[in-house]
Amino acid sequence: MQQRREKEMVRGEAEAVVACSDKSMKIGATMWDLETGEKLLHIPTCASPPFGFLCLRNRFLVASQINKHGSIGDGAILVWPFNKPQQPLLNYTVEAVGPLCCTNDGIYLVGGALSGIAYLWNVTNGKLLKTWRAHNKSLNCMAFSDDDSFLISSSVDGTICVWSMISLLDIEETTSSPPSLHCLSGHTSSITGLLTIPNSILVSSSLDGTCKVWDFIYGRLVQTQVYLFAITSITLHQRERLLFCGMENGTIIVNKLDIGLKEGPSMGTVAQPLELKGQNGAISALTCSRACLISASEDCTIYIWDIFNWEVIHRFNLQKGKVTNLVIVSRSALVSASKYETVSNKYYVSPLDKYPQLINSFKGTTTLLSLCPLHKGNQTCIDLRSSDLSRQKISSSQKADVPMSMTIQMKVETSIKNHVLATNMAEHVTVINKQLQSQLLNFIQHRLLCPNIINTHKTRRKKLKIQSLVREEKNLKP
Amino acid sequence: MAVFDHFENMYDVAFKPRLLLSLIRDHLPDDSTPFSNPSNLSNLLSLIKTHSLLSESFAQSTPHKHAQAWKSAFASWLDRIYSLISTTVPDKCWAGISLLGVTCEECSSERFLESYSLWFQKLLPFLQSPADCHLVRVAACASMSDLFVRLSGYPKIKKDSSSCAVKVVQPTLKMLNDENSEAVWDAAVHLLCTIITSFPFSIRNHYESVESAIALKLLSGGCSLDMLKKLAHCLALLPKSKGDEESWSVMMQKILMLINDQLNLAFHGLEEETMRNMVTRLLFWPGKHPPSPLGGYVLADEVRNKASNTSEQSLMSNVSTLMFGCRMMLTNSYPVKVNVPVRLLLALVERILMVNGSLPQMSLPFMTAKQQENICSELPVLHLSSLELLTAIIKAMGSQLLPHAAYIVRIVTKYFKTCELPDIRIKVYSVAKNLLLTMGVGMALYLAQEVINNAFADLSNIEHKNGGMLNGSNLNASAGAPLPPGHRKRKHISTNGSLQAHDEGGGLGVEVPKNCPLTPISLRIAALETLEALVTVAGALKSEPWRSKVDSLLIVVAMDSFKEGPVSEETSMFQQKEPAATATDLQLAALRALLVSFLSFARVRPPYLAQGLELFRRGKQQTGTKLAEFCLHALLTLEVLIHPRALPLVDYAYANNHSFGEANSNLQHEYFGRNDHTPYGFPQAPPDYDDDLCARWFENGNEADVSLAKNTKHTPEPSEDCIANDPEVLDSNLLERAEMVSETATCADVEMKTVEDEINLKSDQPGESVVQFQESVSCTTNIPEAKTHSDVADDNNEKIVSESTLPHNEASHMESGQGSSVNKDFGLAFQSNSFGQRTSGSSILEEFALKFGQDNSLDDGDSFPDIVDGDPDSNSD
Repeated sequence: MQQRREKEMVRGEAEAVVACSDKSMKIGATMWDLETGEKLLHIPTCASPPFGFLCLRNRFLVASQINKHGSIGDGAILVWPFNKPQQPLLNYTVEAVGPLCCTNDGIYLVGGALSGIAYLWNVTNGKLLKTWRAHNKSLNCMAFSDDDSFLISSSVDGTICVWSMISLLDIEETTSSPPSLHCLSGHTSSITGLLTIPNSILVSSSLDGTCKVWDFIYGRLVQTQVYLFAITSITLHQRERLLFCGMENGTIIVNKLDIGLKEGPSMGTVAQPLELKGQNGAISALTCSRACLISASEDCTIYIWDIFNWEVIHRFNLQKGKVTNLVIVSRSALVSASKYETVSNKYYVSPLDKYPQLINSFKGTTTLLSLCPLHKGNQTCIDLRSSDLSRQKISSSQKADVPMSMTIQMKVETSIKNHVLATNMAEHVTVINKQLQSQLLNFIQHRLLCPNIINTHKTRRKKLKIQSLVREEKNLKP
Repeated sequence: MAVFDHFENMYDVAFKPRLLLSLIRDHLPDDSTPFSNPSNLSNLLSLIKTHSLLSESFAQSTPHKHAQAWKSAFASWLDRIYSLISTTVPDKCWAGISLLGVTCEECSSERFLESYSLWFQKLLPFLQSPADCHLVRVAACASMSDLFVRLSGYPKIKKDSSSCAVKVVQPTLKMLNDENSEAVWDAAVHLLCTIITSFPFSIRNHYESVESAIALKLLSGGCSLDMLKKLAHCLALLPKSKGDEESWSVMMQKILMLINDQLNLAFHGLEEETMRNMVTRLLFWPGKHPPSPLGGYVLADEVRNKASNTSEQSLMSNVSTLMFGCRMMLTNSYPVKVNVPVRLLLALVERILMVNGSLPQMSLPFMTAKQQENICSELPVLHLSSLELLTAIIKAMGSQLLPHAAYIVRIVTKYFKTCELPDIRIKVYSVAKNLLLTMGVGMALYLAQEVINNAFADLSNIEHKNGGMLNGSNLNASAGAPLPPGHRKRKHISTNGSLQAHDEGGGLGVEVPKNCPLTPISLRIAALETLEALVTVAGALKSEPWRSKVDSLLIVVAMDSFKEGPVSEETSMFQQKEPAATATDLQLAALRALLVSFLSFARVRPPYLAQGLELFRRGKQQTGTKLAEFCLHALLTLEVLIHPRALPLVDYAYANNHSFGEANSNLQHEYFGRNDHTPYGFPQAPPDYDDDLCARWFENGNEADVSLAKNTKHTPEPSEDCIANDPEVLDSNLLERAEMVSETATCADVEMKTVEDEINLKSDQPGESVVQFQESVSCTTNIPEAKTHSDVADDNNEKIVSESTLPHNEASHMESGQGSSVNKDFGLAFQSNSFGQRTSGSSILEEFALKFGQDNSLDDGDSFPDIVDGDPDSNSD
């Protein structure tokens, strides 16, 4: 008994799961306690596409939103601090952003757009550091390597690209399409999941019914697992290397991920693996906590499985919405957030820039840094100091009145566009001016040169005259 | 106090006031008695601190009498101090002030809160009156700062205490400006720093005057290096007193402007204009008014005039000090987030590092050789401090530095190639190390080649002496080669059968060249540490061609470090106080790096594990040293690698409702799932023979070890197991494809490897291994004869084979870095039985294979089931 109690003590923090759907804003995101099944939190107005929902440093929930009305066409990224989930920070993006991904330290956030362009922000100062075309087709999934030094992106056409963060962010590299480290091709259909494991291993799943294991630094295919059905979602129990594949038909297949292979691609066929059945629709999201597997399906149900005896512990229902995202958060974030504001704020999320800095010229770049080491900070804060504009955004979004703030945003946007236009015009005019000036100068030079010739003639004559005069004087003197 | 009024023991409360009183009586100078001996005072202090005589802390149950006694003793202590302070004799006054400081630190909270204002009043006059001698003023500053440190612990009385602090600032500044003794400056700066950190806002009104006072001292020269550092530290702390982003940035910009000015003067004619222009452009933003120079315009002009006259030396020391200030600003904590002009700082670093004292053609006529000499003599210090600044930037910024990482890489790689002085190289190594540790594999991709080239140059100056061992470490080894030439060469030797050749290696099978240390030890340590960092983060770069070179280098260096005799301790020229590095440190660094190189092998067996283990064992013998401590730790860590524990899939903390038995059976399903008997048959790719140990152990679980134990005991149980399982195995396996056979063969292989480990650990004598090797030849031929369907014999036989081949394996294995290949071939040999034909890829076993093949052909065929019989994998149940 006492042993058990000791184990209870070292068990660690209680976990909770957050689920959201992309169907409509009304459904929102809901958080449940994993152990008790208690509903902890409900965030209205959240609808994010697959992989568009994540937890930033266990302090913020970040979700990308695709506006389905089509009237504005822009997307948005919302940030909710755990301690004030009623006051999200609304950031607008140039185009609709689908998948999101952040580094482990929560400093960089990447969003992938439907156009195949990727956006990279520094979250602490909100700067849009890089915009580049990552894929030709729509981006649908992204992941960082375990040490955050590589970014892996995938597209609906089945291609996977590996980017080195260092070369991507190299400020002297200003091209809009930096070369990727590798382009992994092999999947024939849309990618449905990317998982990175230490030692540069990447697991990808696709609708073509295969799961491939790659060594992404060398760009090598290590293993292929073939399944009967399209894989709609994968997750991994990191410690035990158990790979869970969610299928189109609602079953989940449990595999041991064995990457002992040193060389050469190999083909594995599936022979009677463990299958977890229960859900009806295609598995739309999977995630793993320490002791549970959480699966969500298109039939709006969320099952929590015990990974020891494969029993369902809890069943949840997200009201009438296909679950697109499941995120595990630790409950302590909620608890510590409620007794807040004793320590000064250490970790910031600034409003994300919509555009890269207009006065670009990387020369003047300064980087933001909170000098207090980040890991010490356990308080959260959204940095509102950056501009009045953002404050406006926030005050409007406080009322959860998104269209209102959108119109403001639109106004701002048009004014920014006008501004850009004006500056362009001004530049144009100055160019014209310069050309005119140079022409004028040429003209004047021409004009001046000709009289000069005459002048020199004149002066010569004058000189001659003077000389003759001098001579006369000399002649007179003696 | 009666003569025989004994107390209980040394912890007794009654003892403390007694001791305090007698100390006052005996050790403290009096009004009348002259101040005898300052060393008395230190004795007194140590007694007070050990017995905490001033703490007045006692349990509730303490008799009132003792409490009173202590109180009165304390009162008399204070009285004595007050009387000392009020004397005019400087040294008595000094003693009084110092003891008051001690009292501030030591007394109880109640006492402190009660009387701090009185003490403050006592101390303040000494700061204000200029008449007193330096000694007294220094002591007053120190005691005052003790007082403030203590005060900052009581936030309740913040208002009072900050008003006290405000009163102090002005006299302290005056002291800093007027006095001309460095000791006083030191004390004053210390006091200022205390006030800034404890009561930042009290100094706000004097911000400008503090800044100019410090700047004046900093720039006017004439201070010692230590003093300069303290001043720079104080300057770096100063923005805290305002605590906003603006003042931090302004201070940073002021310092950088000043550095820029000084560099412009110093580097005139030594650098290209473009660099200078770039820094200037970054420094002064267009359209933004630059802040006033540090310490105001007047001072700046003065300094400029002065600087043009003074020598380069003071210029350089100023720049180094200011850069130290930058470093402090980066690394000290700051209450709000700030904008760090990273780009500018990096440009500055680059600017300094690019100047190496060579004169461009055009400025040759404008500079004398003497001037060049002056500059060059000071350049190393400047380079060092700029590298330190770079390290500070990397540490402070962490992953936010990513946008500039490529730029830093360019600076570092460029500089690494050119720098030569050991002390500077050490710093560059540390920069590289920090970069690797902060940025991970991505950085390793960029930096690996440069680090390795340099580390090889620094670590293997031995290789030029006798070019045997480290051939593989040639810097320009072809990148595509799967194995470095050195390995191939040695493997070749071993396959030629001249096994005696290995004896040269001192029983360890590796030739160790005679060492003659040319590079300083501290440099070698730095190189090793950087390699360690590289291997740590770049575990993923396993098939990089440099990897095997690094591994062989590390084992050689580690073995070398054990051979070195007592090496004289080395002193660094920049820190003369203690020896920078000893041979033991080198040994420790080498073993550390070695351990990391073993552990980072994700999927292959570390090639030099046996030798490494031997080294760690030897290190463990040196009990009581740091080395032994580390070696113990290393052996513990490696134990998991040698004998991997197939840990259960999940920790049972959660599986409370599970009985252990169930879980266990679950486990076995898991591990032996590939026989398709269980629903857990996880899809399994055909096993690769070069596969790592761990994975296989994981597959085979503990059973392999168990069966091994049984085997070595020569008990019939395992074979009985075989019999028990036989039908089943046959049923399932007869129809299996060749793949399956190969799988089982691998499992046998695993067993052999386990035996091999045992032997590796025991036999270090190559001679012994040779004998066993010869034995093994005969044994191998025995195998087919053993086909008597007597399972016991078969089993034993196999055991002999595996055991006896191993020493040979070990020998070749050490050399080749691919030791498992031998076993692999052996595994194939089993397989060949069933097919009657084989070609062994490795020449080592060619002769066995031949015999094997012959015997096989003589045999009746039908060997397949027998082999399966002998297959240890079927021992499992």
